[in-house]
Amino acid sequence: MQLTCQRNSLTAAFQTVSGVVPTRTTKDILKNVKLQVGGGKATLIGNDSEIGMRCDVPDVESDSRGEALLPTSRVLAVLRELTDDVVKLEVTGDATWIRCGYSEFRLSAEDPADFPPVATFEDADYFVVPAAALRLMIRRTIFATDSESTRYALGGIQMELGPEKLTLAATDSRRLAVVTAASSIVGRPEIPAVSPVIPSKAMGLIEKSLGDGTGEAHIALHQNDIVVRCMGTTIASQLVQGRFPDYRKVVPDSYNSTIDMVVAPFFSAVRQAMIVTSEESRGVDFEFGKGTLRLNSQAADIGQSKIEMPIAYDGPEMTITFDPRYVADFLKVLDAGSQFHLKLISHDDRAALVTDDNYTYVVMPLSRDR
Amino acid sequence: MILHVDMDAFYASVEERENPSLVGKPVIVGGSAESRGVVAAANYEARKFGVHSAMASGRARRLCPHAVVIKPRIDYYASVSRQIRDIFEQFTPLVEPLSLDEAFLDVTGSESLFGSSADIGRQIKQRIRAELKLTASVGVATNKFVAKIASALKKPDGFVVVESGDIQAFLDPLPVGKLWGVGKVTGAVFEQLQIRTIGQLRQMPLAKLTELFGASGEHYWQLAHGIDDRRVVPDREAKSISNETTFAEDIADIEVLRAWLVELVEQVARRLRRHDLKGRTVELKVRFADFQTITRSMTLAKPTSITQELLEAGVELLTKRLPSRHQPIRLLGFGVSKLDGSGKSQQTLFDQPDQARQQELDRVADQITEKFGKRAIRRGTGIE
Repeated sequence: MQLTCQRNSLTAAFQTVSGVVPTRTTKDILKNVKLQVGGGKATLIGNDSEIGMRCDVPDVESDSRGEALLPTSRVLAVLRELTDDVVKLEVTGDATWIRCGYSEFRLSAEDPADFPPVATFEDADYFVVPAAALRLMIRRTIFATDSESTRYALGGIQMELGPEKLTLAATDSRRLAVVTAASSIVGRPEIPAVSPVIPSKAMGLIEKSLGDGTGEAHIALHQNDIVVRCMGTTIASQLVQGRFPDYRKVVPDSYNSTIDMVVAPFFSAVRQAMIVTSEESRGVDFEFGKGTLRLNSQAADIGQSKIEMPIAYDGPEMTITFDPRYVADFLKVLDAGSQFHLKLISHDDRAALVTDDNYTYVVMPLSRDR
Repeated sequence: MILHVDMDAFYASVEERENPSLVGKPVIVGGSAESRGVVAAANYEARKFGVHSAMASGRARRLCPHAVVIKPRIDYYASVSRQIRDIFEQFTPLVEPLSLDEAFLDVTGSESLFGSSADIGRQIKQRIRAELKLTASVGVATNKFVAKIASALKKPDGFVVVESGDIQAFLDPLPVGKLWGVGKVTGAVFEQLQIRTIGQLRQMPLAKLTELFGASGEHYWQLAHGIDDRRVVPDREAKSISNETTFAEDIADIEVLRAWLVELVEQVARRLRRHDLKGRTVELKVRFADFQTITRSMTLAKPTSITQELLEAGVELLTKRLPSRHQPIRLLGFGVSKLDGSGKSQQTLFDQPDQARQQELDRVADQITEKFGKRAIRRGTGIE
């Protein structure tokens, strides 16, 4: 089997697939990426036994057919160092040859037949979301997941699929991120009674596979897995088992104050306040006064800080203690110049940070026990 | 100079303040059947009949059948205790609370602001009386040991100042039992030697005392000479809280060690909670039969003062992190560091029933311990 491809295209596809390859696994074969060639096309396949990924390599020439296993880290290293534009791969009985310019590599290969299969996107009924929207939604939720949780299935993002809109929700029980965007359907996909939870690793891979955000993502849901296709990449993932909490109950219906904020100055103040915190004392006091927000932090043996900024607030004075990392996580995924609404209830209740494009972030304060 | 401030019949006085009709009557706090039949506190009227705290309630009732018996309200006493501490902290940041009703204050640096140490002691007494309608006994001395004896000397409403030149004259006539660390056993030895007062003890040479009591001998010698170098350590300054115990006989049985660990963890966790602290790093200290000493530590995901969480970490260190084959153990210690004194913790969106239950369990156990001593309630796995 022989294959000629563009170095840049091959490298990009290989890097995408390498994201799924497990770094630690008891099944050594999974440390490889499988190359499948046939009908003038080439596909790279990775699998970590929960998540599988297929990625087409564009701009290839081949009139043969066959498959091979490529040792991931070794091939990545090779591709990183090559300089010529064209790379030729040849698979003989027991080895894979990579040739490029004056360089030649012969890598011993395991039998590709032993590589566990990865689903293809075969569905006729599926949900459709613009790639750019899905990418943004994943970025706005994935940081709030919690793989350590034992009580709930919080190690992933809950995906609520509907005929007209898609909602993603993630929480580590200290804060919650919920984002909604318009979606559509092709055919008649079944709307699931219980919304699936997709592992955060799979969501991260989907986010990366969406590339520059052109095109659409197609989502097909099955009993135990979900398959997402975008352009030349398909990702199939098992679902997170277990219960996702009913997050709607913890998003308040009403608030006592709403303050309009701009991301950049607030983010700057929060970043400053984070400097004088420690592992042991995370809390920063957010002191809301008329026209002024003051962030007070202090940590034993380190010192203290006081950061003030003007805000449009004229409610009663109130001090809420937050872990500033949770506030910063939200601000990080917004554009510096954009606006949001900071909604408060009381000094020891949750606060919500809400944008005008259907993104809601709820964060719990630190407070005295009982 | 050091102040020792000790509230007079604290629980009972708070109850009298809340209900003035009790004044002049004997009052027993606790001692009802529900509170396991032990007196938590008695006012001075009741004490005239021989009633004292930790006495069995049946006996207390026989001694003083007409006493008013009140159910303890530890939460409320704790809030009053915080008000008292607020007064202390207006005079000095160096406040070391010993319990709800007792604290050491180092006022050395406050004299230029508020007057002499004796003046500060008087002002504190006065403000507690004026603002909280309660009385305190205050001892003023150059060190903790003497200040504590001084505060007890003229209770209630006592005020005793011991200047540095007067320490010997002050201590000499007191019974040796007043020395910190002298209990029944040591007391019996002193009795045999016909040593009854601190003055008599002071006459003994240091060598003789160390011969009799080992390292403790030097401790008694120092106290008898009025020497006590212990600093006043405000809780928020403490870097770690730990507890250790040396066994009478070396222990090899892991289950027995685990039971001892439960005791150590309980005590450390209680101290953390009493001071509103949470710790993030737990450390186990082990001394083997050959005196080789090792420590093993681990860092938790978040700071905690929940006994169960600290215990799980301690058990993991004990069962998984010691050398697989080791000698019997002569000393076991447990400590918590990386302390968070903010008193605040991250709240969660969804209920954490396990955690809430453990916190409630700790809270109730602490109250019982506070009232009736640490033998009153124990984990089922602890040492009998």
